[in-house]
Amino acid sequence: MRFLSRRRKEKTAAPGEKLSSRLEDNLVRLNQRLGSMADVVQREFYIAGDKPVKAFLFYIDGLVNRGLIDEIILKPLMEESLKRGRQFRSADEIYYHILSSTDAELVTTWAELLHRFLSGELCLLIDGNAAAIVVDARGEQVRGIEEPPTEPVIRGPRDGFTENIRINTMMIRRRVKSEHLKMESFILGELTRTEVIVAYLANVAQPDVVAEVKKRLQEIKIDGVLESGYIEEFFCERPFCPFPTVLSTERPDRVAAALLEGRVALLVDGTPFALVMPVTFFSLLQASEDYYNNACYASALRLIRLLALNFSILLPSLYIAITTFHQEMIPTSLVVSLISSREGVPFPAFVEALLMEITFEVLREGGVRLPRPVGHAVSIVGALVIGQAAVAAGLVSTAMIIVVALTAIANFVIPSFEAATVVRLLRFPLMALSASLGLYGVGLGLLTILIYAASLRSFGVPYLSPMAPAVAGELSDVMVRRPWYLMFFRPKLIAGKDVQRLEKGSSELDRG
Amino acid sequence: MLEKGRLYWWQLQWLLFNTVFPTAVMFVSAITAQVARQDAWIAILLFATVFGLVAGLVCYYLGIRFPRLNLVQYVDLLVGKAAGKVISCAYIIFFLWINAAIIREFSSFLATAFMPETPELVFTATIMLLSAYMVRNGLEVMASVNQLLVSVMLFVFASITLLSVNDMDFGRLLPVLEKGWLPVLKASLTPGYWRTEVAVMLMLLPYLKEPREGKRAVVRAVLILGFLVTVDVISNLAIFGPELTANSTFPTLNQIRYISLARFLDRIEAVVMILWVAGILIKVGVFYYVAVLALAQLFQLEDYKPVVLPVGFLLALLSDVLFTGSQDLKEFIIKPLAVMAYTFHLAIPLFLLLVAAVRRVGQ
Repeated sequence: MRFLSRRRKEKTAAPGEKLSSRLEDNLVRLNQRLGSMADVVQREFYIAGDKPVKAFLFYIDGLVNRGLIDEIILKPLMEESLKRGRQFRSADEIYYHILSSTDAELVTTWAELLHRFLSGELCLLIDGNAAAIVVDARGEQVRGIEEPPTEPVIRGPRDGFTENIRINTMMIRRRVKSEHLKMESFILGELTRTEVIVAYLANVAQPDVVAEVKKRLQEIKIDGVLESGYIEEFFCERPFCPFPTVLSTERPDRVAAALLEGRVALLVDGTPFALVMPVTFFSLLQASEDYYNNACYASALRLIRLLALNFSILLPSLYIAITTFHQEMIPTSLVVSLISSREGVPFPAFVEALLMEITFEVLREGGVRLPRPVGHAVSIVGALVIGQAAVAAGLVSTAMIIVVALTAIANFVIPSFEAATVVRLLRFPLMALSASLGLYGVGLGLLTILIYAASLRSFGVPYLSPMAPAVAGELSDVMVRRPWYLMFFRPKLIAGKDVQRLEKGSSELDRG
Repeated sequence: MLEKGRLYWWQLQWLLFNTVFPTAVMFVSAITAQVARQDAWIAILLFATVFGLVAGLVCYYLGIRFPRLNLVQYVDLLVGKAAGKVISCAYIIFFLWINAAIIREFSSFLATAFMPETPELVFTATIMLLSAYMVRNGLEVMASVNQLLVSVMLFVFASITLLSVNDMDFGRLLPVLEKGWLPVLKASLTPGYWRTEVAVMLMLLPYLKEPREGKRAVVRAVLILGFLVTVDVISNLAIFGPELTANSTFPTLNQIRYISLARFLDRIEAVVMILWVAGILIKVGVFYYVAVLALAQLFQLEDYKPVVLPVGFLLALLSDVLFTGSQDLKEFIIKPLAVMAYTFHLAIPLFLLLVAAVRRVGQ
């Protein structure tokens, strides 16, 4: 942070320009810079004593806890000298003897002062001193800790990240109370000056991954960062890569688990979404809950998810291919009901599927975008349009409705929203391929996706590992979930030196 | 070095496996059964495995003398610059030729068995584009893709075999060795050269993380192949008998068509076809890759990527021009290709190994 902020400062003010010791001069400068800022509170007062010293207090309204100002600044300054019978006039003295706040500092340059001021700290200029006192008395309004709406669980902690980075770091620190948990702060965005924190376990994470994350962060020269999505795209390995090569999550327990596995986490001020890297495709199919539930149950869920993934990417294209090219594969009894349901449908299967899939995507987007009270109306209309009217009007077949519905629901089974999005997108080209080349086309499409995914890397880790290249002993935590008493190692490609996570003989069950 | 990727030995093992398996499983049993009748499985289990092991080990012992170098790079050291270049050129031409045959087999198979109304060009063009894309991405990606595919392929192969056990009558394999060993030995020449295709290791060995493990990779690949192709041939023979097996073009495909489970899993050959396409993609990709790599090294290019597309284009063209029809292709596969394969997979490496041993070149 130091390195970065110093370089940034040089642009906002002449390098190292010092404060003047005359308050009047400083105020003139200040007025020039801070004109037309309605949210600035300025207060002139005298530090009590036999020869009162003029002082000037200014801060941004709303970012500062007002009660705290009266308590730790104004009251002591205006009363303490009287009580002690001694005149305090230098900033040093006031800093060391009077201020009753832990988080205060003396600054001497304009650039530093303005930076502190704009990030919501309280600034105090005292006549006759070429230094200002800045006090961190931040007290902005924040949303409380709530259950993360995008990643609900049945079993597991219910707290989710908030928009405030301090609360977020607190939630991680409270879970991992280790000296090895490092959090390095960076300032990103020329104008927004957003705080970004890189968190990792120094004894577990691979040093070169940490260095790479920091390097890429420092290379970003942008005017503003409002959400972690801005940074996520800078971490892509390829242009226009649809696959997420970092994981975004709202759950502090998920970040803590990732840190324990040797991954690096990135917190961005102003958003509840943290980033985790490196990730592999299969880790996007895992939910944090997997590790809290019974291992057998969690394993079954993982297999279901794998199945759902296949459904949601393949079902429409398989339907098209089989009904158009490979009717012989359908069992005879089914073929009869399929034909009767498609009777009177004026479109080929591809157009029918495309129509319904696009309708569904529109409804889904509408559901997200519409104001809550209207949402119900949309779902009713959607259900009627998709479910009833389309069939009754003879536009689509009932079988197609089942396919669309199953595809849609299967898509929601994928825990990572980003991964689910890729699957949603990819099924359209697959549908086109299957309409033109049948199952052969579907195969070509799948192979293309496979080659692309296999060529991706997330911070040096092959995207399809530990399946391909297979890592011995780790397949048991991909398709299924290893019980905790057998989870001896961290993922080998992700954790660096310290792979052991469970000591042998920790349970009766493996001593047996 | 042109290729920076590094493989684990098991990745090479499965890569070599899929270099042989996809076409072997489709074509070998018919060709072998034409000569060896019901004893085709012996030819495949015993002799072909021996051929494969010999070729694989010769290539391994040749390659291991020159760590981190492949054939095109060390052949100059062995026989001198001029002769070395000639041998390299010959290998490139051979790789292209055999690949053209594979691509043509693939296209004509799809066109005859699945989509008779689609021109063969469509299949050739799509598989070439796809494998060009894969080859551009390098060896590691190819190995990773292959690894995922192999697991599914093995699962499906096992399922198919198990599902058709019902139709098998092992009495059809009798009598064993009716006419003695000679026809069996003669018949094993074709599946034998198929197995020697593991000799592509000549080009791939230096890219192992630990080249010494190449021996394990190639031996295991040949043995796994021996086992699986034998299972395939035995099930073909046991279902159809030697006569039908020898006369049908794709006995394994017929076997899959035969499967009917509870009147629900019917005619699943289209699904299996996708997997077979995936296997062929790897097979074409491997030969494509070694050709491209050898070409780039021969002309000392800094990167092999610029030659990928031109070579792909050439391959598509060759696959169309070199063979007039499926009969011509079949004849080419049985005779001239066998001679070429034994020359390039076995004879030349053996010769080079002898030269290396006599002249004490390499380690």
